[in-house]
Amino acid sequence: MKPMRVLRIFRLSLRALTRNKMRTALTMLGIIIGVGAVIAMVSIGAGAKAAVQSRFEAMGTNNLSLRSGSFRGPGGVQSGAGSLPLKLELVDLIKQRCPSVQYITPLYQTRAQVVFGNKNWNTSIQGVNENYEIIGNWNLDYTYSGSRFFTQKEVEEGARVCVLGADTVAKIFPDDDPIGQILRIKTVVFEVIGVLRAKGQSGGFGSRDDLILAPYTTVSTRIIGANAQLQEIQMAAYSASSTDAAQREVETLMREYNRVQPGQADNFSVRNMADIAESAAESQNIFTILLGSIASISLLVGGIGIMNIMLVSVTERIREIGIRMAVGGQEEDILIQFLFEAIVLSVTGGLIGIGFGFAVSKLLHFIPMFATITTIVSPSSIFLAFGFSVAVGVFFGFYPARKASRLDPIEALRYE
Amino acid sequence: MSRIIELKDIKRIYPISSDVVVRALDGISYEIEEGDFIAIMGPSGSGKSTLMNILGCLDRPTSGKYFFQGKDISNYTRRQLATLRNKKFGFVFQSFNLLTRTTALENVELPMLYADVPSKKARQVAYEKLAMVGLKGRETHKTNQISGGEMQRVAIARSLVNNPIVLMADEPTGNLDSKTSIEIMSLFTSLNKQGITIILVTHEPDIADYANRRIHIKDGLIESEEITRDLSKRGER
Repeated sequence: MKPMRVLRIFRLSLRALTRNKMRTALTMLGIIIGVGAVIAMVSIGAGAKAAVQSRFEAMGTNNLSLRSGSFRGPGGVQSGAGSLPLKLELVDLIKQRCPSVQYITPLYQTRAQVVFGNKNWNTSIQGVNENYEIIGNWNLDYTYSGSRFFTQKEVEEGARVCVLGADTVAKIFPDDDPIGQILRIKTVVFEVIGVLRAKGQSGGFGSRDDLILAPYTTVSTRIIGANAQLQEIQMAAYSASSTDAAQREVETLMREYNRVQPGQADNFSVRNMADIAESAAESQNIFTILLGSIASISLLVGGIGIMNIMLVSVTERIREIGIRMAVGGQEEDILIQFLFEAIVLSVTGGLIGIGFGFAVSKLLHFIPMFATITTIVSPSSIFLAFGFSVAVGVFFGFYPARKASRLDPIEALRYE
Repeated sequence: MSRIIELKDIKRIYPISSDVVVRALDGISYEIEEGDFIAIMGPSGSGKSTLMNILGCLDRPTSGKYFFQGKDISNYTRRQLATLRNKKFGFVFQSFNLLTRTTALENVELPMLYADVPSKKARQVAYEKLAMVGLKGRETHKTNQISGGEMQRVAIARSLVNNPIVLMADEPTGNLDSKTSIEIMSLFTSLNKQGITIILVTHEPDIADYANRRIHIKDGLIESEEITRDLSKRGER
């Protein structure tokens, strides 16, 4: 078929659509809402995924964490009857026997009251060694001059020094320079030697920046006291790719150390941040797919709307089709005329829908209820939704168009 | 004078149910010379419309042979028939069959769309043909703004744009008053004088009088034929 004829038939289709403006607009609305919903929903899913990923990145993807008890999914740690408490000597043992582990620190955790002058604040106290700066992916805030982490020597000596999280600083030292200040944790006095740079919102877990880090030696003996129990040993492998090897080494060592018989379940757990990040990303993907599929249903409904209107349109214009056939219109001339109408409906609807979806995802956080939701409009979701809407137009437009093209010219001419 | 149409034992049978059939045409053989003006007459249900549809390539015979310009077209595909209708035939119907809410000009241009005539040329031809049927100045009127007679003139102009060999007119005056009917029929006569073969279906004897030959159809067969005017003496009217 000559391109010239295709173009002229395309103009006929456009004219038919502009003749029935109300109907055209309403038919398009189905596609607009469908495409808009797909883009907005997928942008919410993508935003949630990005938020989760950045949280894991802040934790460090090379990280491993050893706890007693068996680990059951992302829900938490189950302390089984057979679980043994972690011993501090494990830190040295892992250092010697697990070559893939680069950094290691014990972690004692407690909450305690912190006092400075007339300020009083309850916060999380973490007893760790000098490696925690790297393992925890912390950065010192050098806007405070002299800000530093505690040294190995200070850890060994049980020095009474501490490093503050950004939020803690804001609470206790709103106006003063904290470096060199003396504060009290429970009854013990500590010197503030450093401030950590903020990691930002954790998204659901509360602030990650409200904490005090101190040498574990000091925390376990002076703050927690006699019943000090090592909760966790954190490690960092050399690289993300050696995390699995490190995990196997630690597991082997721990089964031996805890005398776990072959076939018996582990009474400790080694969590691998990369795995957790991956499974979290996966569940976010499922979430995105779920949102996208729900939105796709409205796109499908929009497509059915197009088919419905096109069928009505064909029936209304049987006489016209007969005339066109009588004067020499070929089957494909009629087919493309009606197919173009459906495609123009869906493509125009799709384009408007992209704008609509974009606007929704950008304006969503102005609604108080959704203020915390981050949205990311990805080009792929735009292409996907647009491609889908074109496909819907072709798919649902084809049947009515084919029906029109297959009419018998005599019957079509006679149709009242 | 060449023979442009030759029908050989044309039958058109519609199955109604597994054992009942309607024999709309029951073996028609006929020949039409180029430049002829033929009126097909007969009561309703006689099969004259079916004959008209087969002659105009809108329908295919169940059996028999249809030679058009010497070629057997009885087994032509839908596509081939559409091309033939576009290039060789013009149609004028009782109910005009114009596109509604569309200008006279666009209606007349329609067959040229499917003949791939460039738009500029098509527009020019449409103006010419509309002037020829006496509608100069009415080109941009929409079909719902003009009278029945004018609509039929638009239809005639449309039938002529691709320079057809045969003009098929199915009760062209059926919806017109007698004065307009005379105008339309004289238009046909003048077209015939220019050499276009005209096949006219009618049940009105005074309309059939414009033709050179008259055939009567009854029960799907040609009942009789009268030559009302000798072709060789054409133009003496």
